[in-house]
Amino acid sequence: MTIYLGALARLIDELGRMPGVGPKTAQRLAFYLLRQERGEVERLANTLVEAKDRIRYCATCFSLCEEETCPICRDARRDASTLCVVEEPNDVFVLERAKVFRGRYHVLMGTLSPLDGIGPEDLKITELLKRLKDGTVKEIVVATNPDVEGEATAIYLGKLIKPLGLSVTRLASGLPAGGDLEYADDITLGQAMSGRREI
Amino acid sequence: MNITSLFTTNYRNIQRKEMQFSERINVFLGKNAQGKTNLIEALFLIGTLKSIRRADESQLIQFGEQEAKLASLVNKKGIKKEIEIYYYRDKAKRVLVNRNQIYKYADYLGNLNITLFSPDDLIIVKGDASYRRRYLDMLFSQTDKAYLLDLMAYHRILKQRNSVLKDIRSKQRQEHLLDTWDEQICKYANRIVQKRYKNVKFLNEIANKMHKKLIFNENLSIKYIDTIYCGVDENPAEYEKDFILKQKRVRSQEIARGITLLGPHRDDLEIKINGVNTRIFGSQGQKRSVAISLRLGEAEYIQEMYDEYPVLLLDDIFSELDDERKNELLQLLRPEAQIFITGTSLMDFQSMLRHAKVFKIQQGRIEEHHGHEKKRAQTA
Repeated sequence: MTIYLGALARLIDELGRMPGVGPKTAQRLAFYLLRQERGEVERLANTLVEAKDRIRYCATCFSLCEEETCPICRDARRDASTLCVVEEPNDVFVLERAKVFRGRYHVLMGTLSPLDGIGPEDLKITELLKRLKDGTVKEIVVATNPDVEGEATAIYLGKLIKPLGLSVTRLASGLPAGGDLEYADDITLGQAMSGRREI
Repeated sequence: MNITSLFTTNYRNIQRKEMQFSERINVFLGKNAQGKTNLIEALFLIGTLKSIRRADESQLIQFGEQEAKLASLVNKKGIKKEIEIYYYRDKAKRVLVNRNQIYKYADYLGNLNITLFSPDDLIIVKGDASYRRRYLDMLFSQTDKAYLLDLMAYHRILKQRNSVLKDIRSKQRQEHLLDTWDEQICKYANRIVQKRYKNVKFLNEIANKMHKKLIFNENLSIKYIDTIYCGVDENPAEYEKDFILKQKRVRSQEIARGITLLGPHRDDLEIKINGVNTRIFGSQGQKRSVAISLRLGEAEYIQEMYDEYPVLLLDDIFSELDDERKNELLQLLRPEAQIFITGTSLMDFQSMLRHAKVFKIQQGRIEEHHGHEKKRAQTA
């Protein structure tokens, strides 16, 4: 944006670097911020720094938290025998919001992607194996995304963990709940058809 | 299926003008380098979102302008679709169908089915295997979304797997890491190959039927050759199993070369006329007629899959054919088909002018031409 100079251009630039924010949104946010009272802007800036300072990865599951370990890992009521493996900390919040899982989590911090130079050693897999050692965990639910890299990671984990005598399961893919058959796309329908089960 | 109208803004050298098309034959008439193929390309873009010249999308925008727009009304089995495509210099294009934005290529396909005949088709017969795979993939993707998505996933896995092979070669990774990708590539390879076997068999029948009508006494056969059976004793039902076996055997070779040697990305089509390989032994004329038969087969294939004949684009195709073949070809196109055809002289189109709308193109300026009607009126 050559028409904006100095501090304003820098602000637009910084905002525009965020995911999902294009040049126009960045401009709109910048002008919004400039219209605010100094105190408001200060509060936002402090919140940003505070969040960055206080939030860290859970030492056990690598989800986000403010203490040494996250509330889920500390909660004795959670089922310690099932572990749900996800790609990113965000996925933990998604699953928690749905309240569908009562076990604990493990965040891999990515997926296998040789193209980007990401191998097993770059993911929290050693840490995962360490958690399995004491025999508390009986089942691993692999909840990586159903894309090429997510699938590869799931297959890799299956090969690694199954020999340990644990049950390894993968999230099913298929029809969305409450949806009509006619609105499902061909691929989803195909997966739902091949993953059908007896009633 | 037909295209009712086309309106372009800042697109290549074409000047703004709304064109209303005939449901039957539309002729784009003009000297070379005036913009005829640009119009054909615009229609192809609306059908496939792909450029026929494999051009960078920013090249579609007129020199000195920031954005271009293509808009078209399409009539599909009586349902009207308004298609708009916006191209920008600095960001990705926007595609709208009936004012709703489409985000995925796979969700767009099927709005307008198109078969393009072009002199460049010769390369399908003459060129390396990648052109024949491209021909199959474009056709099967147009009619089967699952095929397209499998193909996209396959190529992603292929890249990842090749990257692992190179890492193993340079001793940066251990060989067992290949297992995950082997399992995945095998699953997708099988799905793609099954469809190719089935579809090529059908395509072979219809292309041969067309070819026999185009050239008396010639028998065209197209056969799918995969990397597992290499054309000998194929057994598609056992493909996945045999793939895994053969993959183990070539692994050291794959690591040494750092590339994946087996799979649909290296498959081919064998094209024969009367039992003789056309790519190697065919004359130029034979190759040209085979290319036309493949496109005719494509149109019939689409008819079969969608129960609707595609819109035909014939770019500079008559200049390559003698009068007899020209007439044969016209006979083979279904009478209900909407056709867009380019040419330099009205003489080439005498036989079809009665149903045709003629557009004259000069340096990007388009004018509807009524000359032949006037002449007929004068002589009457």
